Amino acid sequence: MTGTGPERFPAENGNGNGSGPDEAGADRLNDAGASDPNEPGHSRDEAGDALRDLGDSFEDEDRTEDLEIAAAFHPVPGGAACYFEPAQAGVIRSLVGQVAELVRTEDASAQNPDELEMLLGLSGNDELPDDPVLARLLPDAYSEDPEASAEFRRYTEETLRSGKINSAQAVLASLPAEGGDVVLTEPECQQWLRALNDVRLALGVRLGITDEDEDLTEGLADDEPRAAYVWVYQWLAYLQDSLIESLN
Amino acid sequence: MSTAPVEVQQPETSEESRLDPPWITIVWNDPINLMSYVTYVFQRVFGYSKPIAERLMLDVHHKGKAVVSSGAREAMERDAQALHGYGLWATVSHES
Repeated sequence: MTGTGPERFPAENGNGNGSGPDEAGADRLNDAGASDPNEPGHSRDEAGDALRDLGDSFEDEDRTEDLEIAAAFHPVPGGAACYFEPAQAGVIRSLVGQVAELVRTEDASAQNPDELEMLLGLSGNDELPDDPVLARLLPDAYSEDPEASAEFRRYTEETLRSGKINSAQAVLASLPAEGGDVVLTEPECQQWLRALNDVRLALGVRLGITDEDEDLTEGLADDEPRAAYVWVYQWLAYLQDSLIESLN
Repeated sequence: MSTAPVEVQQPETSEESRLDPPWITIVWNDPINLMSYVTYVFQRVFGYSKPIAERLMLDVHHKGKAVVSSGAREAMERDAQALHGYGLWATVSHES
């Protein structure tokens, strides 16, 4: 687990002398538009397509400046609220949509699609997905019993997948592409928490994060494509943490 | 902060459960999930108080895993399914 929280995030990115979170973040995200075959999101494995170029979200140069401020939730009666700049909304919508697409696409290609099984909500799929992101999102339930894992998966994977898709859709429905004030009800907060977490899991796996204490920015030049992903990954941790704080 | 073992739901002491040792749900540490999020999920899924949930979370964090619930196999599978829904890495196993 990682302790990245509101107190840590700005400190990591804002250390004075002109290279604070704002400038650095904008630069990095600009650079994300330049496609690099070695970029983690592209080439870590075949399914890298699932987290496509973050640069898609930053086509408009002016909008990248909007990412300068790490948006955070604050509590409001009955839920939580946050103001999102258009570029921020674009990043979240893009990533949430990609994760939902990944979960849904694999769904459609499940082996042995059987009408009765579908009716019963069973999955034709009983194996741990090959894609490491999907394997993390849809993990085995028995660490030392493949047969029990397969059986569990057959009965639960469809529900798990549809739950993740529902959460993603709830985010897309409540977050306008143009950004703005987003006020969430408590149930919407729950959907956002799950969807943001799924995105963080996906990004974390693609970034190859294995050490929770690792300083992800250490030795990372601002112009490296990976820097954009790292920045977004850390911002989403900050955003998710602010949402939890708002609910507590 | 205290690292004392966390008390989790104790297995029932009925005759049935004595004959059939309980199953457990284990949550494994991972480098991505936020500590605050894992604590929150334990509160939501199990109804644990925040101090209990935090101690469980720290157990996972420091020891690599923690038993978060125990009981009948079906109930543990429901717990694991719920935890997977939140993106936690949970497995079910037979208490040994």
